[in-house]
Parts: sequence; structure tokens; C-alpha cells
Amino acid sequence: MVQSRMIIVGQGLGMTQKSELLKIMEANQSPRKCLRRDRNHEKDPSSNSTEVMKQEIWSEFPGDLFETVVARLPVAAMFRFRTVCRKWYSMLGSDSFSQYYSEVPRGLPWFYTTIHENARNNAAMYDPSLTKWHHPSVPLARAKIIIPVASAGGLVCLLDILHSNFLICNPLTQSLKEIPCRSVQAWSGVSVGMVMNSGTSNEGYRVMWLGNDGNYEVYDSMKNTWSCSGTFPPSIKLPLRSRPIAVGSALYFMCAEPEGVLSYDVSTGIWRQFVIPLPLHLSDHTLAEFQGKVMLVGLLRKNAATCVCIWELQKMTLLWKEVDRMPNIWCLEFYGKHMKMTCLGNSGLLMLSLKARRTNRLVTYNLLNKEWQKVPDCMHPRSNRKRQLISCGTAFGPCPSALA
Amino acid sequence: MAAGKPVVMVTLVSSDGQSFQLLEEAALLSAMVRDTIQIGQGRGPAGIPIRNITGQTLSMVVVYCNKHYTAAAAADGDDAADEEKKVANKKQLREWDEQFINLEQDKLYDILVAANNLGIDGLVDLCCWRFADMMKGKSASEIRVKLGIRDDFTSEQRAQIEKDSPWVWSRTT
Repeated sequence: MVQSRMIIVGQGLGMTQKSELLKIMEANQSPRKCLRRDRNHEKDPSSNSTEVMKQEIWSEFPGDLFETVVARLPVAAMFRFRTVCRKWYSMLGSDSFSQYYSEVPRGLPWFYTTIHENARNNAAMYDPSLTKWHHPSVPLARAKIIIPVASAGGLVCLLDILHSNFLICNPLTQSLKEIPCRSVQAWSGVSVGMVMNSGTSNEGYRVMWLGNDGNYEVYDSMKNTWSCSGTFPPSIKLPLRSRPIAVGSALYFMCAEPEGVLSYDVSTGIWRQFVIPLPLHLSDHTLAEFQGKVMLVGLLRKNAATCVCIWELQKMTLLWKEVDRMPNIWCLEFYGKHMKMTCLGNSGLLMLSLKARRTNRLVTYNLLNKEWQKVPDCMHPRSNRKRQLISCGTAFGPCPSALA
Repeated sequence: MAAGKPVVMVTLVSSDGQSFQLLEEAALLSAMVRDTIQIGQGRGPAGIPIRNITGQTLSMVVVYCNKHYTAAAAADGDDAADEEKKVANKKQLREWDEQFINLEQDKLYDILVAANNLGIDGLVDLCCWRFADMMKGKSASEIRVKLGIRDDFTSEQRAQIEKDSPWVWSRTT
């Protein structure tokens, strides 16, 4: 009805203009194969490197529009273009550019993991838009064993298990900071969470650890000190399962007795408890976060079949609602085998390490477009060994300007 | 859409004197048109003069506005609970966008500048993604050659930049 009233009155449209419009209309009616894939799936960089760039157009680009364009490049390309010339280098490091960068919706977070081989930390970052592993160096003494435990605002929180302290780093740059030491010695089984103080990185971040005995503390990067407010609810049985996830300024922990979710608001110091029954036949489960929603990831076992399932927390009814499961054809590979799962990245993009006898799989699940994808083998340039099993890691939103 | 709603049209006049008539609601995608109408102008038969934008470019912008307005109006009318249909419609619109923006650089540039002047955020975004697509697979030296930029780094400076983010330059798997 509305459409029939749409008229384009082009008085004096020339032939060329008419055909231009016609082409668009026709293209609209008979959808051909998409020329450009989903923005979240950027093409392989080599695939369109032949596309011509006309100098007369690019050299007259107004500065603000040019920065808007560059802010839409894959992160790796932004870093590559720092070496074009001094002007580009300073533009890519400028405050105005990081503002443009922060305004572009980034589809997928990256994933950061460390692998300990030959008494050395090797780090690997997975870029899901290019389906590629990058290998950043770890700016640390080689004897230390560090594990990525949490992330926020483009920064990754690393736990140095030998020296009992925390490090904060931006995996894209060499920005690194050691958090002041704590007196607490027992580090086995600590849960660590991290939140930003506000939407921007200028106002710092907070890191929280929770011990097996219910002791906990929060570090504020603006004050550079640890402190503790509130008390752990005595009715909850310790230790808690799985890593916490961050939604706004709250961290959510999964608790087994009573079954449900526990939240701690790091800015107010208030604990809240939600009793939520778990789905039946569930195992290897963990919490995940997606666009402010609390999600549950786990294995459903029934007879000989095992399947990875995703649930969303219904805040009104306090129930888990199933939203997706892994494609049948992949589940069949594990039929009759005892499958174990570790969920590594748990924000926006899930990195799942599936393990069974003679079958190891590394897959990602994209909560945004509900896509399951196999992850290519991670081969470190130094060791040349394929890694199909990854035991620790965290999802993080790549941000070139984030400072530890 | 309510059936009894009156149909208000506005006319946009390009720099070379071509007029384009479209639904006011479609034209309101432009912040500039919004501002003009808000101060009580532009509804008359003379239309809204659009400076610096030729008829050829403006015709494309009008096509974009009509399409996006119709899509939004259709989405409003849909059953809010039908999640699947919404996703399908969004996908369809994205495919239309991709076809629409698959243009020669000269035309793309004209549309980008026009969309920026008219304050049509969605169209600016779309054009910028398309331009970024052209750049992203290139190496720094290719960019320098294509755009006639002189490399003004010393080799030490470049080595330092590469050292700051070694993962960019090492082999990926």
C-alpha cells in the first residue's frame, strides 16, 4: 500500500541516470549472490587486494570521513597502515581516531590464550573475522607461568601463578601493567572477574578475585589499591563453579548449592542470589555473557548422544530457556564417546574446546548470528606444533588504544 | 501504518535544478531535511534546495531513503513477536544495501559526501564500509604507491613501530 505511493519524480533525468536507477531496481528484484559478505566476516585480505584505488579520489577525502573509513578496517590492517607514513601513524594513534573506532559496532570479540611449552609462554590470539590466529609476544620473563583469566575494555587480566600476582595487558600493543601484590597466598581455584568503571577506558577498570573460602577483594585501577566491601552470603556453598562473567558493573558467578546464579556489584559491594534450576542431564556447564544477557553453555547427555546447548536466562521467570544447539552432524562425531567440554571465551563469542577419545575439536559459537564454526589449527611459528586443545583463555574486544 | 494518515510529500531540488519528490517521512532520514522542516520551511512547492549535490547523486540518495523508509515502515507493521521474519527482513535489506553500494569509486565518493552533507548516518556508514573494503587487503607499501604517499620514516622508526606490535608482521595460521 505504501509502496504503491512511492514515486520518484526525476524531472529531466538523463539516459545514464535512468539506467543507473533501473540497474538498482533490477538488482533488487532478482537477488544475486552477495558481493560483500556479512560485515562480521571480513574477507581474506588477499582476496580483494587487486581492487583499484583511484588516487584522485582518495587524496581529496575530507579528514573526518577518511578516519571514519579507516575505523572500519580490520584491526590487523589498522596496525599495518601505521607504517605508511608519519601522518597516518599519528592519525591512527590520535584521540579523534579512537573515538571513531569506538563508534563502529565491532561484531565479534577476539580470543586470547597462552600455551606453556618448554618453560616458555607462547600467546595466541584468534581473530574470528579473518579466521586467523595471530601470535603476539608476551612481554614477560620467560620463567613465569601466566594464565589469561578475564578481560574488559580491550584489556586482558593475566594471573602469574608462580608469583601470585595479576598483570593487565593489551594483547595488541605492548602495554603492560603489574597490579600491586596481595598478601593472599592460595591461588588454586580463585575466580577472577574484570569490569570497566564506565563505557570508556579513561575511567579505569576493576578486577575482583574470589577465593575458595569466600574471601574476596576488588582492585580499582584509578586508586591503584585493593579493597573489600560487603560480605560473602553465608548461605552459599563454596567453592563456586566456573568463571564469573561481567554485565555492566556486576559479576555473575554460577553456584551449585543452591542451584543458581550469584551476582556481585563491584561498585556497590552488594551480593544478590538467584535460585534458578538447571536443565536436566546437564554437565560441563559455564556462564556466558551476550549483549548484557546472562547465558548458559553446557553439554546435554542423553543415552549415547551428547550435544552442546545454549540457554538464555529469563529474568522474569528465573528459568533457563534453550536458544540453540550445536548442529546434529557435529554431535554425531561424538556419538557414543564420552565428550568433555571447556568453554574458554565467554562473551559474545564462545570458544569451545571439545574433547573425546581420538576426537578433539575447537569450535566457536557466535551468539550474535547463531553461527557454529570450526576453528583452524593454531600453529605457533616457534614450535610448529598444531594445537587442538586449549585449556585456558578469554574473549576480549580488540582495542588499539586501550592502556593497561 | 495507520490507514487514515495523510500523505505528505516533499521536494528536493538538486544543484543542477532537478526535482525529486518523495514521502516526507522518507526524506526525514536526512538530519538536514529534518532541521529545515522543523523551522517550518521546505514544505512549499519550491521544495528544499540541496546545494552542491547534483541530480545524478541525489537520485541515488532518494532511492536509498525510499527503500529504508519502506523497510522501517514494514517492520513497524509486523508482528513484534515474529523474530524469524524480522531477521529475514534485516538480511534482505542488507543484501539490497550491498547491491546498491556496489558502485564505481567516483559515484561512491559523491554519494558519501552527499550523505554526509545531508546527515544520513546509515548511508555514510554504508559508503565507509565499502571504501574500507577497498583498502583492507593492501599492504602499507601498496597504499603508498596507490595514493602517491612518500615514505617519510627512517628505518629505525619503522623498526620501532613494527616492534610495538610484532603479531601484525609475523606469520599467521
